[in-house]
Amino acid sequence: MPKTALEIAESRTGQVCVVALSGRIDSSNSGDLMSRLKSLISSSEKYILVDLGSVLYLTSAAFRVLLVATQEAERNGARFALCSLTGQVRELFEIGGLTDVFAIHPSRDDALARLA
Amino acid sequence: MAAICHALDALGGEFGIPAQTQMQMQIALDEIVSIIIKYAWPAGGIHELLVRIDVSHDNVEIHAIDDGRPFDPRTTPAQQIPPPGERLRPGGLGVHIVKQLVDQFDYARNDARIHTVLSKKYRAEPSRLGGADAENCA
Repeated sequence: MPKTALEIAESRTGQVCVVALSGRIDSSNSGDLMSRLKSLISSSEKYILVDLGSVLYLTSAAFRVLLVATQEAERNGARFALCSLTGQVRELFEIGGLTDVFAIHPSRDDALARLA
Repeated sequence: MAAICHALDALGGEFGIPAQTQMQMQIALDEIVSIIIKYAWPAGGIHELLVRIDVSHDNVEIHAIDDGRPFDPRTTPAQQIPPPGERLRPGGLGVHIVKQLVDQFDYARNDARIHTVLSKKYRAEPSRLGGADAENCA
């Protein structure tokens, strides 16, 4: 069974700050994710890429975090994007009608090529 | 929520509930508990929420019983997807997700308690039996 607690790992590729998430994102831990993303946005990162490839599932609490982060990034002149939506996670974006609301790239490599 | 998450994981392994069904019920339960906290207890304070999970050989049923003000989450307006270029307004998304993930979504008021019931049919997967992983709920 895969690990299911939320883990947040940051790395850098060129100018892009990559935030790789894994596990479940729900109401109990979405606040942790919000804090990390707000911290990155307020520290003047200009390119933030959230990799959802290892996320098991996410709830509306996580969608709200991603929406708020997207809007705050816009206000700060930063580009905020998502990548690697697969399986259940992609289905949840589709159920929520959110695939056109975010900048979504099929893979991390594709996103880095377009953002960097 | 972590305790409930553990319980669902353990039951999933015990009954061979498919991983996708189990995740969908985890998500639906998280949404319902969030809705109860936000709408049934708007003034905060100390409240009671009882969660009961009934599992049969082909059905998972989650009962959330709270002492808050009457609020039928099923009546929440459907989420409005904004046209391109406009921002999505938060709200209604959780209920919309629940409606899509479960087979049945019931609500009743009994003895000054609110009963919200979510149920979903499943076909047991023998390979999942005994495979619960309840160590990493957030």
